[in-house]
Amino acid sequence: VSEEVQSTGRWLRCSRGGAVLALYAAGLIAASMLFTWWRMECRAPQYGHRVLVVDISPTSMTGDVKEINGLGHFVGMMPLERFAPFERAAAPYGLALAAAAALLLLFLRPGWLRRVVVAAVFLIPAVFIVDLWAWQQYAVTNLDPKASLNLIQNRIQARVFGEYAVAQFKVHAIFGTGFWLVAVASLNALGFAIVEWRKRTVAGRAVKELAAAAALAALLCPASAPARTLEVGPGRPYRTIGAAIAAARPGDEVRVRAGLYRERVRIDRPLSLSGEEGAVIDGGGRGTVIKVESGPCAIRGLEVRGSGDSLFSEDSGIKLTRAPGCAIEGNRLDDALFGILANYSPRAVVRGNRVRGKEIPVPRRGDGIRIYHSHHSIVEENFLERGRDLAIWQSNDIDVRHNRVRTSRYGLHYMYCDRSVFEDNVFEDNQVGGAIMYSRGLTLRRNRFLRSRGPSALGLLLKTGDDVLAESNHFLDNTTGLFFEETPSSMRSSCVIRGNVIAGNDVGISLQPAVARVVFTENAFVANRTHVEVLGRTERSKNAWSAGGRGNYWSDYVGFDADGDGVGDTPHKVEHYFEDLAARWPAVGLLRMGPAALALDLAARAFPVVSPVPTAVDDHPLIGLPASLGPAPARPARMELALGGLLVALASLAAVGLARRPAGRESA
Amino acid sequence: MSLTTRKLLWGGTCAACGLALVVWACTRPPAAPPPGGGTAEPLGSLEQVALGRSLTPDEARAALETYVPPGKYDEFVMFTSGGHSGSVYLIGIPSLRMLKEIPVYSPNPWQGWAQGAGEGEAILKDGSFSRKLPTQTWGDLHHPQLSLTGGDYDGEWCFASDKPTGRIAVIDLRDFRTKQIVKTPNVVSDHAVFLVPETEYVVASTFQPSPGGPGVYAPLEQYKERYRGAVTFHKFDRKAGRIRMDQSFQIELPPYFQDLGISGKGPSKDYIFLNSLNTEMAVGQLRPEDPPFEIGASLNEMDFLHIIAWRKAEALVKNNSPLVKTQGGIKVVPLEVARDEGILYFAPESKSPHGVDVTPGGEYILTGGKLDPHVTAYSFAKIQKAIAEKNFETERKDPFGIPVLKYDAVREAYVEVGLGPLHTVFDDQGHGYISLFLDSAIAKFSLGPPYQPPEKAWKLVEKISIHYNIGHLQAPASNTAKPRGRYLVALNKWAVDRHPGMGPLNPQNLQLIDISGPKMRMIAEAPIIGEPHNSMIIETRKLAGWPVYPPGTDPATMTPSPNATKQGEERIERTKNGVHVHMVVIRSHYKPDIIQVKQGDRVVIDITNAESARDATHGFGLHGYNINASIDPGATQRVELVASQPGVYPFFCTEFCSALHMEMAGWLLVEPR
Repeated sequence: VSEEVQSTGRWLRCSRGGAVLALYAAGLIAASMLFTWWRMECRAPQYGHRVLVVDISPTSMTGDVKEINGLGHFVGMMPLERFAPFERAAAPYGLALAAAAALLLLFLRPGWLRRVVVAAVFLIPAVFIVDLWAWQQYAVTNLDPKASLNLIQNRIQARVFGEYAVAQFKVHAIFGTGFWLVAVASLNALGFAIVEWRKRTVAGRAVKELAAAAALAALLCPASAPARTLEVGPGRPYRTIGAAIAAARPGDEVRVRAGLYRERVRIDRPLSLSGEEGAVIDGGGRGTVIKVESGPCAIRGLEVRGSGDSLFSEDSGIKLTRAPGCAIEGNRLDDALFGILANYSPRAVVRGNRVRGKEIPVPRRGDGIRIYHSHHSIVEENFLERGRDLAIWQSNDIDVRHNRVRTSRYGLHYMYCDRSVFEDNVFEDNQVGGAIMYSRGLTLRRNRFLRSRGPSALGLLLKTGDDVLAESNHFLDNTTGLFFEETPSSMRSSCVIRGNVIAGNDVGISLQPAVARVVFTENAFVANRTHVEVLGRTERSKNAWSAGGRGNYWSDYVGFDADGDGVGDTPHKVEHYFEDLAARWPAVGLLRMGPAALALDLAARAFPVVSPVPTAVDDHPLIGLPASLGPAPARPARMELALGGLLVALASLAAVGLARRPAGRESA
Repeated sequence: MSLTTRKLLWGGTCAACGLALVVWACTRPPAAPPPGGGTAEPLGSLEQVALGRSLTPDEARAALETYVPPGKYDEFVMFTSGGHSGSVYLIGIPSLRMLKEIPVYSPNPWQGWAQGAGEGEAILKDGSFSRKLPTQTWGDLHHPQLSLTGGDYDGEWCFASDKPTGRIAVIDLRDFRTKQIVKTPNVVSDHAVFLVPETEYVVASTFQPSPGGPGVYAPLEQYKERYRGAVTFHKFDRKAGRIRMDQSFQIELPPYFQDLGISGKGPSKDYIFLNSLNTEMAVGQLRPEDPPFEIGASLNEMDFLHIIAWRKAEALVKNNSPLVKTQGGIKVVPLEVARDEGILYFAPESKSPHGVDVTPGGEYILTGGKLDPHVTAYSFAKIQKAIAEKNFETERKDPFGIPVLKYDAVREAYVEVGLGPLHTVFDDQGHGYISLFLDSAIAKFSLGPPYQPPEKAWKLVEKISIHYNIGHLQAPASNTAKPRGRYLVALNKWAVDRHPGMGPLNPQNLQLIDISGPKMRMIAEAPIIGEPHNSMIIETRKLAGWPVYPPGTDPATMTPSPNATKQGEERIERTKNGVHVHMVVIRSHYKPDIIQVKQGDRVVIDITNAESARDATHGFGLHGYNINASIDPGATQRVELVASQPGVYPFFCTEFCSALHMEMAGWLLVEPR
């Protein structure tokens, strides 16, 4: 021991590497007090681009605290100031102490005190996370039941890190620079411990301790029998899938080898059924091919075909009934009346399936996928063709992403569901692209509603929807692009339609006269025969055709932008002068759709003599296509975080360099 | 931009400006009206009126089409349900003016209906849910039905159901007053009421099943075993104007919600058809893991269209078959008997449908899918064939063993009409019109042969937007064998922005649509009080209400009242425990006009209106004792009270009658004991 002390100076009680690490940790802890440790970003449709941010550091709580408290009040959340009062009061002193203690490591002899200090510094981030988590949980479980928006029914799934929803708000939680600084300090403490222990050549001890910890962890892990794999196929233990399932224990895997299996399968215990390439189950044209009546189960990689064709008995490819937590992935369903049905089966994951219906008239078909009263399910990357609907009913918190539905009845048939996200889906050549009804808290992003054509065809129908945000979607070549009925429904709700392309439709947007409180901004209306129609007169409705001085792009706007700010100097009135004239003198109708009619429309706008009633007035029409037609950069800049990260990285490099310098050269 | 394009654009704009100027010149009002003013206004001034009121040409035209000038009558009268106002309302078509209210299930002081006097109190009491519970003074009135003779309206009777309690009311169209309220035995609710073609029976189906009538209990755990639905055939004795329970019968049904129903016509006249929902037999959240009721009740892809050969059941009842039991004072054909005797069949229908309607000739049965965007047409001929061939579904069976006809074997066609299709009505040109609740629209579609040639059959013709959430719709004589066409009335559940802000509770909204031309046109709109569930539209000329009652008529029986008093025979008689007043009212006095009694006396006042002039109704308003009688010309009404509290109680005429109306008053003097 004395040798080591001598080699690093008289007053220094640790190695040079240890010293650097301790110094560094102390510095980081001290610096962390100046930075944000945790940040909460809230986004809601009615706030448009604005993101409400709260930054929490050991010394302060800053940002939109007042707004968040105001909104939190509606759901019965206690004010932010009442969170962790002791911890926030004690944090500056505690951290100062920790920084001092880390410095003290330089002078402490190996012993219990040194271990305590190392452990304390090491545990700072963990303590922070646990405390934060505890307070979050406390807050969401102790909501005021008398709050105006009572969310007790749908518990807030608060997270310390990542995204979660509170009513129509999406909350995004991230760790700030301060946290990452102490995280590095924590690693330094670990490094200090290792360096010091290794140096004392009691490496065995560290190894032993590690081994003991591993053993303890193993002890704590639930003991479970290993799952068996039951193989089905020619020359395998089981010739039929049914026999394998009958022999399977819960948790086993039934693996189906390539081949054609003419049987109907019923899964009544949790297991995994997977097929290798070329494994085909054929139901023989009667009833449902695979019935799942227990969960969690997984069905993967199978080709399923030949269900019956009775709507009455809901003949399906794969049908889940009261089977929670199932994964239906990467299957190929063909010639099935219904494809994948999930009834009363929450947390279903339906991903990467390809479903093709029977070649029968549309009214006689079944749904490609139906999620019925199965909350928290995920529908992703499926391809549906020649079916009826992608139907999601009475199920909350559903993510629908990257699906493609074509030549079906309703691309999306969505009813009585709250809080769902629809992103990057394509609905093409359906009778109705999407029908969203009686639901709230919906986000539609980057979906494409294409070529919904027919006498009652629509790109997207919104009936009785609240807090709907539709951005960066494409509505192209539909009979009617978007149809609004009673949306938003609640007087306390609004809908935001932002940055969408609405082009080449017979009617771009069709509004029932009572529709109000919809904000249309930065959309591009291009070459629709009628951009906006209102289905009747009203004296009361008010929608916003611009927000924050930014309206929409209208391909037929005839105005100037003298000041060059990208916004037209005169309002754009959506009105169809020609239609009005034709109503007065039917003979004029002969000219319909001809250049004369277009000229008349143009002239009427340039020289308003007899004004028809405008269906929409955009006070700030955009001169060019909005730049934000791609996904809006709604997230605030993370410059601070990036700088902090860079600093840490550089400092770490320097520290490592210093620590690795051989001791001999230093003394020389 | 090239020079040529710019030139073109300039040229085009200039040309367009020129055109605009021409238009302006055409539409400019004349510089000044001709001095002195002509005798006949030039036609141009009509346009000025329209412009002055900012009416579009379409709106101005609609105004002319719907305006009924003073002294003229509407062409049609619509009998519409007033929902939980408990009344039937009469609306003129095309003016949409309210013509009259007929109180049925709720008291109405204006007409002296169950307001402490007259026949109304007794009718409400007799027709209450249960004798052991308070007299029911409200109802949710659904589905008025006009009596039929030879498959067409005869303008004689109107029937209306009360959904929550399962009651039927009979309204006499001689005086437009309710004559009878009947509680259907063995059930606790119903929904629809409809008539068989000659009005022999008034048919009502249950809505929520029950283990029996009022007072019968069974836990919901025994829902499948103990709860039952029913369809009841109330025998209507046209001569007496009453429903006869002793000749009525009931067919027991499985515990599904038998929703709306309709009678066949022509070839299908011996059948009725009922929709159903909740064939899942969900009961709500009995156990914590059960889903809410509406979710449990909407799981199945298809429910059952009930096909009921009721003449077979009637024959069993008339022949006193031992298979028929008597329960709750009515003959009941048990479920197993209905199944085994070929009375009851099912056909699959799209989940939770709402409307079921039969084409004027009785060939097709149409159901609206509600949650399915199609109207489905079933062929009656195919139904008969499938029954004969025993062509039944095999993969899924009815838990009660009722045979389910193969869907593909009985379906004739489907038409995709839009979201939330509910009820279909018919015009005289071979079209159906279906209300679309979710779309807030009406879709017009073509029917199959013989209404349309095969190449035009079962196609969507056009749609029109409705404001908002349409429920029923109606067209003149739509449910008869001879629909008249011309108009559609949309009975909308929500008004939202249609009328000025008058607080959070809005009236419901009626909209009138012209269907006489190739395109449907919305031509008028009016608020209505009480949710209109359904209506019937009849030609005004078919209604022949009495202008006055024959002298001394009891409105309860429509016969001479034994209590009528002739003029000159007015008197007060002392009885054992009070007084009996024989009173005559005529403009403008009560005779006698002073009634002197002792505290505790029982006071009976028979009031005869001696008038024979139209509209000479007199009132008898007696405050304190909470009485208002309305005595129409010729009528005799009785007021009864126990003079429990002493004091001076003036009575007066509540219906303005003559120049001395204010003087038409009298005294009830109650002397303390």
